[in-house]
Amino acid sequence: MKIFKLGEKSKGVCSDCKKVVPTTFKLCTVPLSSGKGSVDDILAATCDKCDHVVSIPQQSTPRIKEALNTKKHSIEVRLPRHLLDILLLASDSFEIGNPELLKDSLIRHYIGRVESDKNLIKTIKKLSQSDFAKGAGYRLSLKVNDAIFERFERIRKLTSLNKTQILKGLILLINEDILQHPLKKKLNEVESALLASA
Amino acid sequence: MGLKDIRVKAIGCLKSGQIQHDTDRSGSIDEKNLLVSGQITVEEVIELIKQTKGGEFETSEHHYIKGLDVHLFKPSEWYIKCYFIEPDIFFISVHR
Repeated sequence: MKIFKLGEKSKGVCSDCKKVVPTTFKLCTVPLSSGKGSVDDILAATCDKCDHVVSIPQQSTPRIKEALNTKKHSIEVRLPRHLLDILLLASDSFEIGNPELLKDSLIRHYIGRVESDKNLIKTIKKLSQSDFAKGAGYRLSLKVNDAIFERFERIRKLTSLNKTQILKGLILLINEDILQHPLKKKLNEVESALLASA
Repeated sequence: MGLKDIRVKAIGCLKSGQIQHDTDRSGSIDEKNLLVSGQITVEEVIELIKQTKGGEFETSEHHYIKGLDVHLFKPSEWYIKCYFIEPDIFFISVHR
């Protein structure tokens, strides 16, 4: 596969100069046509006459795809204070960084795990309806990308629970796995996932 | 050059990675171009070009570059518009 290098020369149709022009591959921040943001530092061919961004080589596609897929969804719920404490305690137990930041990765990991496991689906449904899950009042805001949001929505359909109930079930599952009955194998698995996303 | 020759040329560029994508008039990434946005693969575009029949292919002159042929493949509801500036293929559109 042809890979263009920084500084390499090419040709292209410049829509400003209205002709075929010599171009040079440079690192550019290129806006998206929808106006919803831009992609930083991608290789693009710019017009040697007017510097207009003329074309994008195929090798820049993964960066564009990544920028388009990192669209964030917000999951906002209100939970009892003790569930937020559980989440922070569980995140802190791994000692791999700020638990406040790590807690989001921990929930995202559990969304992925639960969505693909029928038994865990049943478990979070049960946990979300337990006495320990009762209460509200403290806000939890979670930003997730398309892939995680789709999984979260699938959990919603599979369990018929609302957003708050799912979060309660997930946090109580984290409580069981990490604080109440920790198993080395499971902890290692969660730790690897958290390290990868830290 | 007819469909047969353009198809060979396009597939040759796609296989060797000599691929560029036009930006839109304002110099932005055209998100509707599903190949530059990574929603379709090079291999899938090759397949679509292979599937294109004679009646699903047109060539016209670029709207402001005289002598530059723009080729349009329209297989099964797809719309693939491109031209060549040696040695590369330039995609204007790849969408449904």
